[in-house]
Amino acid sequence: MKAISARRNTLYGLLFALPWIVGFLAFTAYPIFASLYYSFTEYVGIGTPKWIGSGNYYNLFRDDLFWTSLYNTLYYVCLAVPIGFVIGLGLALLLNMDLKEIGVYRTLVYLPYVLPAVAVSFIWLWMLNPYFGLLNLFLNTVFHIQGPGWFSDPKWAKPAFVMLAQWGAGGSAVIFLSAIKDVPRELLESAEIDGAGWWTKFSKIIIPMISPVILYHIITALFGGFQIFTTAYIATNGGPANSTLFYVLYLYRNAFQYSKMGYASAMAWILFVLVLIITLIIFKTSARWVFYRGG
Amino acid sequence: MFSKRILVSLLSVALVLSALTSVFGKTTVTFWHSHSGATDRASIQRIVDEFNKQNPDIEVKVTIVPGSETDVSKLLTAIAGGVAPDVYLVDRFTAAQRAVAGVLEPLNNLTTSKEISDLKKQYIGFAWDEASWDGKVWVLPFDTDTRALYYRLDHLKEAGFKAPPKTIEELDVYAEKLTKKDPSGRFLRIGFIPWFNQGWHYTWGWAFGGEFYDPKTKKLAITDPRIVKSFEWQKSYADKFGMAAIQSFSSAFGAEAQDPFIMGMISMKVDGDWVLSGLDRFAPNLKWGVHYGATYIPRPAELAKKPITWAGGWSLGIPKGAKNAKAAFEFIKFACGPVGQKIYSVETFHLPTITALLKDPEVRGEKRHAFFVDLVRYAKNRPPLPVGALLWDELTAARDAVINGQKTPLKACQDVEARVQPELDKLLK
Repeated sequence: MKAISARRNTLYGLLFALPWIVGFLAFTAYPIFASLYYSFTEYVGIGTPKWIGSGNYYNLFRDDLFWTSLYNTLYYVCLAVPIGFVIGLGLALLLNMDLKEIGVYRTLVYLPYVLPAVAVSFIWLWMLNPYFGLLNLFLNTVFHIQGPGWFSDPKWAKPAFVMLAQWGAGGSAVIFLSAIKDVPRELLESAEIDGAGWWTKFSKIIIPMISPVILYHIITALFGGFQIFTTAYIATNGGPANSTLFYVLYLYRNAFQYSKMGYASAMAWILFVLVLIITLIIFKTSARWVFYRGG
Repeated sequence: MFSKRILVSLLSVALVLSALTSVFGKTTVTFWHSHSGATDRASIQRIVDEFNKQNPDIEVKVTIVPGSETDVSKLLTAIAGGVAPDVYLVDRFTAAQRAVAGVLEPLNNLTTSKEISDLKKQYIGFAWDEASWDGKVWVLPFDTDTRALYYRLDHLKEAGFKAPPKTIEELDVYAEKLTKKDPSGRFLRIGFIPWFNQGWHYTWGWAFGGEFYDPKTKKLAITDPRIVKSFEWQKSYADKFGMAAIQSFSSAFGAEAQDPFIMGMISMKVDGDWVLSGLDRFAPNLKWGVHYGATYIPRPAELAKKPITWAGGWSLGIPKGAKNAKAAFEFIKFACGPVGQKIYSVETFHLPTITALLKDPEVRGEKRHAFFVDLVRYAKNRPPLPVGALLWDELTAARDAVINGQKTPLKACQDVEARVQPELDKLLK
């Protein structure tokens, strides 16, 4: 009797999850494996793909723009992820202060995060406008230095995107904040009694206690960083001089502008493997610095 | 019992009715385009309405879709999904690429070779060339456009110039004299920036007398010394004025009301005919012949006698898998024919690709527009290759690399050939 009802429960469970399962198989799993197949073919996006073995991969490794786009993306990830971490955590610490109007600040800090990337790109195009932008105006009036051309200068375009990415720091700040709030009070209080200063409390208690959330943040930020597309597509479309031709932007061009869907699929798989390796390395080393309570 | 009989008779009436409507009903033609700008969009709608009025058995329905000159991802996914539209607006210089990619239905399949050759006769040669590939015609030419040197007459007069520059050498002198800086060295005005607006690689390559492709050998000719020279000349502006300073100056402005030409921050620029309507709209106090004018694109002294420009434009094609290709063909013949093109040219300032319309006084309009209409006869067109979009992007990247000092002009041109020629060879096989 019990076995039957358990089986029925499983059946019902599956039935309720069915819409999602079907959606996942049709719209996520199938395209993923189809793209693996396409990556070994010459395919324009419609019609029949032509099998060319590892040709796409061979050509990719000899494609200058592939390396340029990979370099641009790594450059961006290496700056945007750590800076985003510091700013997000810093904001979270500020938002953790005991102030009457802290609710207002939390809302204000989170607000930019809910804006769509397209709108944010346009706002930043104006903020970083070399002649009329707020940032260069500030640099000029306060420090009397002439700000760079930002999006129009090959040397400054990538840093401009790193800066733009911090617009969304409110999102991670809120996650850090909830983790900080979870740090047991008694730990902090007993540390205080023992004479620990704020830095000791921060580095010896808060950081270890929220380290699982830090791990989560770094992994998701890496995924997001490697996939930078929307803002670059809108603000610079890869220019000037390919200095902001990020990986996914080049992938998109191959797929939809140059009709090279197979080549683009190969790019997608290389990115997948690369991100997978980096993620695995982080997970392996995380055992040394991530502390799980009760674990 | 009674109600059942009523039901049966109602059903049979409905059946007969639906059979009748499918015989006498309208054929629906779905038409996708990406011209979301108010003027162009309204004009295209007017052409559609006119066609629907004249063809009671066909109804064309317009949908605005996202996309651009080279980006047709929406169309690709629709074809792959089996829900392709019947008509699509294609940037003509990518027609060959779409043909090779299997996106378009060849028009030869829809009609006789007699009608195709009749159609061919009414269009300007280059427009038809762009529409053809591999001995077949894939789209019908819609509009075109031409480029010229716009200049601020008030700036020229103030600097003591009586006429606009005719040669590259004169242009260089003008550019320097018209440029103004404030005491801190910031530009207040720049006389001329070669790569601004429509000063593309093609513009200057052709102005210097170069040819980008040799149809006989089927080889790209980007390393043509004259094209290399056009890149060198552009670089001289980066050196003269300082690249960072120019870039930050030129990127500070935008389009429409923020156009630096309108704001008086740039004295000369290469731009297209379509700019005229924007000038009227955003700078109604700037008058042709008083504050600004347009002339032939300057060329090196030895070539300056022969005017040159280049033309682009759009076309209408029928995607693979279109459900009503026959009716769609009727519509594109109308829209790209004398009636459709006339509506569009008169209303939007774009130029027609029908030879006869170039003489039509209504299409020519006022003097300044007629100048651009007459430029059509000097127009070059981008080589109609199935790698058109790739070649464009690579040339743009090469130009950027040169003016930013990352590559020498020759190296940049060699790199374009090295990247694009193998792709072309693959498709020509």
